[in-house]
Amino acid sequence: MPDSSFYAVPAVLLSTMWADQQSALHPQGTQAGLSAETAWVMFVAGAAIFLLVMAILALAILGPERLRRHLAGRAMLVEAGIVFPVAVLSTLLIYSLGIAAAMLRADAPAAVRIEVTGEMWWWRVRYLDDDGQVLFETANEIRIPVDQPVDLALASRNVVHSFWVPNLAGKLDMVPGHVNRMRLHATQAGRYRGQCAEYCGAQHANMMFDIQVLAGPDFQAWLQSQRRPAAPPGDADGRLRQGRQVFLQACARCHAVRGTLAAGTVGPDLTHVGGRLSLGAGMLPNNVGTLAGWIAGSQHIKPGNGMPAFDHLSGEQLRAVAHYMESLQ
Amino acid sequence: MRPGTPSAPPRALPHPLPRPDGEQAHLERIWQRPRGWRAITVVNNNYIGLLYIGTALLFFLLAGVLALLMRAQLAVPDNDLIGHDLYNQLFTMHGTVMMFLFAVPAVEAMAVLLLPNMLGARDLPFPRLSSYAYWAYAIGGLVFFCSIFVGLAPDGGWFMYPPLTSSAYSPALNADLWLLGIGFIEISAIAGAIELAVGILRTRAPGMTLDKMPIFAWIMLAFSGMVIIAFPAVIVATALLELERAFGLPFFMADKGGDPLLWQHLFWLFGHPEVYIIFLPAAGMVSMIIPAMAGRPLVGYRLVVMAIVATSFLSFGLWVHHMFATGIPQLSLSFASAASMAVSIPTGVQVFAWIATIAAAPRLRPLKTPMLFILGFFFIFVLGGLTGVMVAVIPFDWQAHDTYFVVAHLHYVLVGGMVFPLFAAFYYWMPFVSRRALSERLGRWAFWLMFVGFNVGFFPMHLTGLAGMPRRVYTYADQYGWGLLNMVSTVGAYLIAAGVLVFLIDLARNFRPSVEHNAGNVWQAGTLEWLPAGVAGPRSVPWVSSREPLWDQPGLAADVQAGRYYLPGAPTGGRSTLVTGAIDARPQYLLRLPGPGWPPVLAAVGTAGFFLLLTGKLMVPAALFGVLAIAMILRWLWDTDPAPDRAPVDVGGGLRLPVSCVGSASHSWWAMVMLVMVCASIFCALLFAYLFLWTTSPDVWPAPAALAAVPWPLASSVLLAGSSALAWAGGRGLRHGRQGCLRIALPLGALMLAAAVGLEADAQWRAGLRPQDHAYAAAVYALIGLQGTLAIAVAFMSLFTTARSWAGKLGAARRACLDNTTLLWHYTAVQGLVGTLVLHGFPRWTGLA
Amino acid sequence: MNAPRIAILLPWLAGPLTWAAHFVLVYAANGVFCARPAWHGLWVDAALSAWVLSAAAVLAIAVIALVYWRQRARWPRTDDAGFFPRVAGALSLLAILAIVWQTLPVWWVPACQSG
Repeated sequence: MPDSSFYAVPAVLLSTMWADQQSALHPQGTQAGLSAETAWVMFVAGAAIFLLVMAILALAILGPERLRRHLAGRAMLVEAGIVFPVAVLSTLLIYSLGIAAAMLRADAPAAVRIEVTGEMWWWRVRYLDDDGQVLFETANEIRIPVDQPVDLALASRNVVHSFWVPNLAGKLDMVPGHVNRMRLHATQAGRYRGQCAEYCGAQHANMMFDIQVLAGPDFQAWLQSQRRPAAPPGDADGRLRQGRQVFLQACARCHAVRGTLAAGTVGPDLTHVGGRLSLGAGMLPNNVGTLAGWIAGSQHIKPGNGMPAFDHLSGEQLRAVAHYMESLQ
Repeated sequence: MRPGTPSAPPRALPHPLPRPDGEQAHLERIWQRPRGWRAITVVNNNYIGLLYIGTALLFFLLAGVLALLMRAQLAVPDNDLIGHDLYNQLFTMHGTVMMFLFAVPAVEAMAVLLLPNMLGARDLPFPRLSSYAYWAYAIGGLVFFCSIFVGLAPDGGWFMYPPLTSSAYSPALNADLWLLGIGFIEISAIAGAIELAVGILRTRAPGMTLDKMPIFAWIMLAFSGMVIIAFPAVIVATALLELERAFGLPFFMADKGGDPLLWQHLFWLFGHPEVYIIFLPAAGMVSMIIPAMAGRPLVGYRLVVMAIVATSFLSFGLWVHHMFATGIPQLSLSFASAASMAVSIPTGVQVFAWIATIAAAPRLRPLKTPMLFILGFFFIFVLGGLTGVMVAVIPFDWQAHDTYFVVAHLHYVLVGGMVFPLFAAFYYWMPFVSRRALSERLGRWAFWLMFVGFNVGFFPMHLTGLAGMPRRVYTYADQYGWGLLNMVSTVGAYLIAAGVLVFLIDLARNFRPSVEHNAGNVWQAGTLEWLPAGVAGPRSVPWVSSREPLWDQPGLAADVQAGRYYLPGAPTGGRSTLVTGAIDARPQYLLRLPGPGWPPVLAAVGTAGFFLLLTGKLMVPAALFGVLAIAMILRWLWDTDPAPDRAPVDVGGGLRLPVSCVGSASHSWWAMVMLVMVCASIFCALLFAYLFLWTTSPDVWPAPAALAAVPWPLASSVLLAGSSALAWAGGRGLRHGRQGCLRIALPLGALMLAAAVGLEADAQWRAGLRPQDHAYAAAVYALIGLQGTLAIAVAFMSLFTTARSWAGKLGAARRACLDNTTLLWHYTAVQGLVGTLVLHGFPRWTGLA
Repeated sequence: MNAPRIAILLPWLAGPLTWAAHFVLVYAANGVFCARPAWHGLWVDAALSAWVLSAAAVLAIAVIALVYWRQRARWPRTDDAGFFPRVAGALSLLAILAIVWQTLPVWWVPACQSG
């Protein structure tokens, strides 16, 4: 069947109206490609059937007498109301079963294993090795190699969430008490967005994440850098050391930075937060200003989220800790 | 004699000679509605139906305003018009009010208003029940809606998924308000459904065999069946969640063996049939309006009946399609996908039957307003049905689920499939309830604004959803480019509002409610509701020999009005209507109907107050309202089953009918059978919960050694069987005229029934099981709790029956009370035995496997 | 009384009722089967389950056909002469179609894998 580049044509035609970062109509992965193919087939067929039915209705009202008499007959009712739908739906059923079976085929072993746990309202991401041991933990961001199968284990220990990256695959829920597994197979490098797709409370609307698909060597480089603990700030850098001091006092109870004494697990792991693509589960760009803004006023940005506002820190402390976090690349 | 030979129509009219003077005035006096402040005690279906539809329309407007607020917030990205807290309450209330307080009540209201007249009956069979159901819904619904003004509105979505709605994540009262408030409104809907079903089956005009029944009646019969089977699932779900929130029984808590998916299964087992419960009556109205406007009977009547019955059954197999993204095994999902496709066949049959009828029409043009709304329905609903087939395809649904694509689909099928037919019905049946019809000019404006507004508003959402916008989000970022699509949708929503406003203006200008002086058969339609009007329904009950009696039976209207058919007066001195056979529609007896009264209204106030105060944890006031409700219900029931001391009455044509009926042919027995079906559905839902939890959390199931010893369930089974035997003995005694046996057997039997439950609970307790331990324990105690609830109900009924016996209100020919009680009694005993077998047998059987 | 009883509606609804029973059966069977991998191979395995579910479909279709055949001379008489038998026949055919459709997946789709 055609690969995802086939859909570039209709996608380009439609993309005047919106961006393609979080769109099911711009498939960049195998599963999303199959879903998109199904969508186009059904859209074309559905549009044709709709126009046909409306035409018949119009003819039933406005058409010539002979045609109207034919439309009023039992034969028409049986053909249009039973025979035609049975034929079309039988075909559709078999077609859809074939697509579903193709999507579930998981022949090759996974190149990468990731466990994603839904929190309120952010994503806890753990990369695992082949035995299921944790390599490292990060948050709100997933990077995967292109053209290789990636297995995800989706879980939640609070409410029901749903993991959805429309460019790559359909969604799968994260249900407390269950571990749902899905396979991603990206076919195009790039940066995409995902969003929680099951209403999970106050800030469900602001539970997004970044997913970056990298070429193989780039992915390996990133993986290795993530496994390393945070580099300590140099002796010459007073502000960074002050920042680290503030961090250990104010933030370590909830956050972890490997390589320091901070080992809190309530909030996202911040070991390499400086290198992330966004902050606040996809809400803000990542720079010193937004870091400071989030720390001081997260309750204004994402009211009700689990982090209190640290507006009691002085301006100097805030700048220091923000610079420190920016340095955690 | 071969069974089922229909009796021939009367050779002559039942009353060929002119009726005596004053008979019609006497009839109208008896059926006159109460005036002044007593007006709220009205029980006649015409008035209750009008109140009902008016209240439903009010909720439509209120929920619509909530939607306008939501659309205002979503018009631009990163909007701060409405914060997350209020927005989450808005979308929860919009969905909840539209589904529970508008859609189902509106279609039930149309049936209450139209069906008796359409069937040739004077009223529904249980008028006080209609009044009770209406007032409970109105009071409860309005109080529930007002919660949004005090920040107490539920905010968990209309589908209220735990664990978000468990006490850990929704500690405040808001969720309890939804659970208790909606829970009891469902009870009101079930009461209405039972009454409609009995009315459709047993109070049709003579000669109106099933093959001549109006399609709307077939549909409401299917509707009632669906409500009876489906609503118990949501009642069980809400009860379980409330037990978890209030008492910590962990049905949905994963760390104690519960499963959030249990709620989803129970909710959607109700939720999917619910949308067909909403759509089918609207389709039924379309099936009545098109033939009338077209001047031609419906083409393919039999196929349409098949389609109605098939849809009502098949819709129960679709619930999993709301859960395609939950990780359920693929094959299980595929069963639902296949069933979802199967259900579109009967829908297609109906669509083409309508198109065929339109094609056969001699007089459709110029198109009048009802037909405009029907054409709008075709356009919108067919489009929605096609996107429905799309989301039934699993690989597509995995992208579309929980996005604005589904918001588009559901509004296309619900607004297209229910609201547009409803507006068509308003314009079509207005002459039935009003001195003046509505305006054609304003109707056109209303239609075009609503039609264009709807498509402008909702069509873009198909794209918005596939472009990545999930549902239930209070805002969205600019970067995705959804801003333009959302703005267009908001403009469309306000256009719809403009159209509805035009309709309201039309209503204010032209709606002048009147039952006796309505505008008449403006459309030259063929069905019985268009007979000359009166407070008592038709002046006399006609013999029906066609599906469109007013078209095929010449002079029918004049003959009915002159009293030449059956029951032209009030021979019992009170309100009455004919009861006929369900299959052959032959007159069987005269049903004496009650007039206006306070008990149903006060009982509704009591019921609403009880549930709402319970939500607020105000126990003493709640208890007082509960006592009021029970007292009023007992007062009302005390008046039922009057003494059979009247001689059979001449209703015309030489027919002398008894004025009461004893045994399994009685209408009250049939209602009781349906109530038992509701109870059985509740029990099956709870059994499902038990078995489902066993599949997902076998680790909390006990080993056979940990169970209570076998003598315990044996003893409680003996008590159950024994109580049933006592009830049977009491009944037998009454048949032979002996009351003494009954007066001892019933209370004793009730005690045994209660003791059986107590013994079971005690056995579990002694085995060390506590309800909060884990999901297995919770399920066990829930089953016991259900049994206990029924035992209490039966105990009440048995004491009531005994009291009637002492008061001389029970006899060999006056025994509805006893018959109904023993029916529920035997059911309760059987349920108890099955429950005992499951609780004590299932773990032993699976423990050995 | 010689009047036709309401119970005549039971054979009339044989199609949808049998469909419902079949649906409950296949759904419950697959649900339990997938929830108890430890039982696989004891009394049924994935390959055999397709045959079992197909056999259930054949049985259900046979029941529908049998009930319709037995009932064909026993419908109540109505003015619309073919009403009961025709509607019952149409219901039966649609039920058979639905049973066939909901059995097809067992040959295409893995029993227990999830998406």
